[in-house]
Amino acid sequence: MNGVPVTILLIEDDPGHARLIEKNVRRAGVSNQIVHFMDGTSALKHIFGQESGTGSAAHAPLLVLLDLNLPDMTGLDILARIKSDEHLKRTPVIVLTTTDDRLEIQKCYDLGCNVYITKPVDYEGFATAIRQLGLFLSVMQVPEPT
Amino acid sequence: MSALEPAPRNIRRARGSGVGVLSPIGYLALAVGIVVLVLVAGSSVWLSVRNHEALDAAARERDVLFTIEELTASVERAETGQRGFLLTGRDAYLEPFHRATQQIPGLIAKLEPEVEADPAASRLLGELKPVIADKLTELRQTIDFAKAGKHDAALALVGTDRGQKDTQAIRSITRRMAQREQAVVAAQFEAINDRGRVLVLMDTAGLAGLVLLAGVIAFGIRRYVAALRATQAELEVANRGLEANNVDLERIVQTRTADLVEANEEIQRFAYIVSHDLRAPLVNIMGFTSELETAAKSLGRFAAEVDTGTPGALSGEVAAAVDEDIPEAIRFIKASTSKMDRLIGAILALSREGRRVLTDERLDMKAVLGSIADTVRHQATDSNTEIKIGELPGLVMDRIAVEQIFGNLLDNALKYLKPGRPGVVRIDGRVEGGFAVFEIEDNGRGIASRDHERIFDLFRRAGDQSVPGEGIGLAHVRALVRRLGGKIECDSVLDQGTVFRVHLPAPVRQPTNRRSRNVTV
Repeated sequence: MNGVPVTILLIEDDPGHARLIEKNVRRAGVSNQIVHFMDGTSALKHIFGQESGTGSAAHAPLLVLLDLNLPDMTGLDILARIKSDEHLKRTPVIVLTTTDDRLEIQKCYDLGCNVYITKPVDYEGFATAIRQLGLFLSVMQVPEPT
Repeated sequence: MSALEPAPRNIRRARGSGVGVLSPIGYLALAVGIVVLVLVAGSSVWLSVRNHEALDAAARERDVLFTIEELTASVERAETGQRGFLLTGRDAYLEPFHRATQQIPGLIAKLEPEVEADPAASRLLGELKPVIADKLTELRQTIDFAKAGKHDAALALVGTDRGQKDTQAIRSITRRMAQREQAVVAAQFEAINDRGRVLVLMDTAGLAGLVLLAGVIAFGIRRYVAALRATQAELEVANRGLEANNVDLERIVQTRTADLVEANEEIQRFAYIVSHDLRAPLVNIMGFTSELETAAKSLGRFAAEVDTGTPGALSGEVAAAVDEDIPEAIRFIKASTSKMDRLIGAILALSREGRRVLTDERLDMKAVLGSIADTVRHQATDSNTEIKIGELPGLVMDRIAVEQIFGNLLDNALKYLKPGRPGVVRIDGRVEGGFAVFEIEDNGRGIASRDHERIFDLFRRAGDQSVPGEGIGLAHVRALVRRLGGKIECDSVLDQGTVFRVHLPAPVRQPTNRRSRNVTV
């Protein structure tokens, strides 16, 4: 990670899941800032920053961990917004969700999702997946925002 | 079913209207026509016979008339011969006399029976006979005188006018006789004429009767044809009604089937969503319990260090909490959550199975059961159990679903054997009313009759809980069998054994894809 630290944007409506994800990612040695949003509207506000006025975050390198089942919108909307934005289209988006429907997965990749992970619905699988995600994040490269 | 009922009522009504071909008046006219025709025919025959008889009688009367004339003529011829002989004295003139005198008795004899029935005629004949006899006697006497040469005596006899009177009497009597006979003949012909007129009248009446009959019959046929047409029309209406009913019924069946499919899909979706949404908090509970456990272990280690450093620093309460209460609570939480996890997992598996796309293929069930038996061979050998597979009908169905059904049933049969009794598991099959019926029979511990339905419910188990399980297998089997369009039943006697009977649709000529309807959600 070259100079500017990457911010991890966690968009997940279940606070417990968010906390467990954060803890396990930290245990894997990832120390980047993790910003957590529990709904789509506030996450979009943060990413595009127009209304919030805190434009500083807008052009910092980002990595998005995205749940598709959000209370106010589907994660697909957020994914589409990010991937169609001139500045943010190279931002890696990891979809982390419970849906294992084939068509849904295809749709996500069509929209430009970088990685699609199905949250295992059993605890053991879930814990393992999160640990592996943490290890993955610790080695992956994120492009500078243009 | 109520939708079906109006149609048979229509048919009954249609049949009822076809009965009255003719009105009562029509039937009366028919009867009168027939009676008239019979009377006309009968009396025509009778009149014809009578006329024939009358003609015969008339012919006989004519003969009588001729006979009377012949008699008169014979008497005159006899007189002519006598006159000739008296004038000439030659025997040749006597020839007519002799012939006539020979004929006369025959002619009289011929008349006798004819006049017998008529007293007046008999009386006339009675008067005639002595006159003729006297006339002939007179003639013969004159001839005898002449032959004896007594010409004067002969002429004197003629001169007495005795012969002349006799001849006049004969003419008078025979004329009266002839008149009588002519009157009789005329009466006969009059009667014949009368009967002829009656015959004409009768024939006219017969013709009228025929016309009437023809009219009645034509009218009856028209009415009958009209009634037939009406019946046919009503039948057509009834048929259309039936067809409409059929269409309605089919539509109802289709609607209900669609409703059922929809309800089934909704249940599948519900199960899927519930299991997912229950899973999310459960993952948190399990996750944070793990966190708690890790934290508790750190705490435990710290307490142990403190305890070894300065014994008695920890109160008994704290020591108990760290050493026993917290680990015990965590143990129970973990046991319960993992049980809940398994149950939710089972629901999820069931709903996944319900959502899976079924692919029909031809299955040799003997081979399928054989390979399932091979997978449990080890278990069977351990429990000293024999698996016997009989002749089985083939299926055209989803292989995985079928394997899961029979795998579960075979597994159950081996799991719930009666301890201490060598097991026998028998698998047989037959085709029955469009269904392939498979029987999996064991001699295991059996199921109490009150549990025969319950065992198919999710998370429900029966009998002694010595074998671990979640109560999922048979629920899964029943869901699969239903999805394949079949049904499953259980026959069992406690301590004797169990028969599971699986009915699955027998293959039709063309495999259908009707069961792959809930392909996607």
